[in-house]
Amino acid sequence: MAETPAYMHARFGGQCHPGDIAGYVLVPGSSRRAEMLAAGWADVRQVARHFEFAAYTGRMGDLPITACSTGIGGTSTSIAVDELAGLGAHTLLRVGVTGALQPEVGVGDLIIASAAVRMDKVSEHYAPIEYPAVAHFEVISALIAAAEELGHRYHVGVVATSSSFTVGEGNPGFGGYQHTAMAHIVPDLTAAGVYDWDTETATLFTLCSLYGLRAGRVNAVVDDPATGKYNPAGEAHAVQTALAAMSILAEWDAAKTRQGRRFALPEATPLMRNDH
Amino acid sequence: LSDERAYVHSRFGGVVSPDDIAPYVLLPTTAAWAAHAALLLDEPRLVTEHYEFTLYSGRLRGVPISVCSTGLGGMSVSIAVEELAQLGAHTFIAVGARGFQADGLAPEALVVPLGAVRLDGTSHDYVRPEYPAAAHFEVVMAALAAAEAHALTTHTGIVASVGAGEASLSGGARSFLSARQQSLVTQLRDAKVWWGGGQEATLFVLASLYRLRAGALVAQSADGSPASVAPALDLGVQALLVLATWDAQKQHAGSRYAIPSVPKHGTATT
Repeated sequence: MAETPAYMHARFGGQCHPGDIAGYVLVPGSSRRAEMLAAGWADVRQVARHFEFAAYTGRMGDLPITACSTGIGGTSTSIAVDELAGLGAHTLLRVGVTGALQPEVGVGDLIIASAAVRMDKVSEHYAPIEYPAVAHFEVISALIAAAEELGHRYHVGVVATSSSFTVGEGNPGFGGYQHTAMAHIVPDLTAAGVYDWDTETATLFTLCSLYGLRAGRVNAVVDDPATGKYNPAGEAHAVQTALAAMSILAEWDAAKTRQGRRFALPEATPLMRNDH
Repeated sequence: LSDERAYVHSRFGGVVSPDDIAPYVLLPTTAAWAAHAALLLDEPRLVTEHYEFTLYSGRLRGVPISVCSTGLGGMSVSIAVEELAQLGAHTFIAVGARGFQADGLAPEALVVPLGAVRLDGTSHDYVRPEYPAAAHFEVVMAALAAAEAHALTTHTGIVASVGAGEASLSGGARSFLSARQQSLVTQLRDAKVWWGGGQEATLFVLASLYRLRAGALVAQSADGSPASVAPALDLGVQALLVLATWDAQKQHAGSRYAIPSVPKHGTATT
């Protein structure tokens, strides 16, 4: 039953209540992908449908889990993160699609973001621009483990988040409109080794780092450098990898609790006994 | 090495060759700290002293490790990283000190930065300010794993690397804060940022641009003495050892990254 929210988007239009959102939350851009993510879960219910935010909560095996679309861009992503965090989310994993900047990346490859270039603008309302948008190492590790296990081609590195889809990424707008300020953006980011463009990751990472939450991101490359055409073939792999990574994170978290450890880490002690 | 790039600091005054430098490098701030760290190695050798850069190389449990002091400030850090990378180094751990008590941190607490706020100046010559100064996740995990193995308390978080020294922003003896600096200090406090040792932002940005690995440790020091940072120097060397061991295991297994092990029964979705 909807209550009057504090502001229009609070708890997604007042539709969500404590308990509706799981600790583990997948945050795709589109509501269609949120449905894809939730398709195999048990006891799935839609807990919000408000503007671009569609949230589904269910169980993946024993794990309570939510998928919530953020919509496109930093503003809507920031609303989603603020509301999800307020409702108890502690791990936010973005699943998206992307255009690659590096020549070794092929269409359909997965790109796991270790950190993001903050051209989203929205995150500047939260922290000075010099603050780093970093993914959490446990989420990076879980995504790598999942991609390895599933046998998908993947890359790990710095990505860029733009505040507009066309001109901000150095592409012409309507009628070929271009802004000379953006003329160097693609060559500069490519030289800096940045892997891809999207429009949400830097906002997600900055806010989660500020709030002490874990964040990560896996995107599938959908711009085919060979044909110049959109090719969504990798999207299903990104979805599969993100779901597997959440299972792995939940297992690591349970092991941490059992063992009284703070972090999931590769084993170091047996190696350090391996003296010469 | 090409003579075309020779300048006063290339190869630290032209005397250091790739054979002198290990792939795993500890970067303490001062020469005195470097000397202290070198004593942790087996048969340390003084490679050279050039301006603020004092270099030692040695081995620990068979792993080649170099130690190079960076001096203060992003400028000096950038020269050290440029030269060491050119000489074959690929993994760096900076050891720095915060001079001021940080909110919520015990004096003996070591901070393992996940990333740094780029108040260094120098990194802005390399890449636009939106680019993240992120520590490499393998280096972060190695520092945490080494700390866990030695039962040391660590804190993870974001640190601010200030080019002019943290005194300029955190109330030094003759503190003058401009309105912009006052606002920045408030913003950093709101963002729960700790003071770093000054090297992190430049190091993380350069290493990331060059696809090398970097991390850092931040101790608290009231006097800048080697004793005050000794636990951080020791942990830094141990973390490099962990990384070298993981790298050897990766090579043996043909895997690309060191990650925590995944239970054999696999995941719910596969």
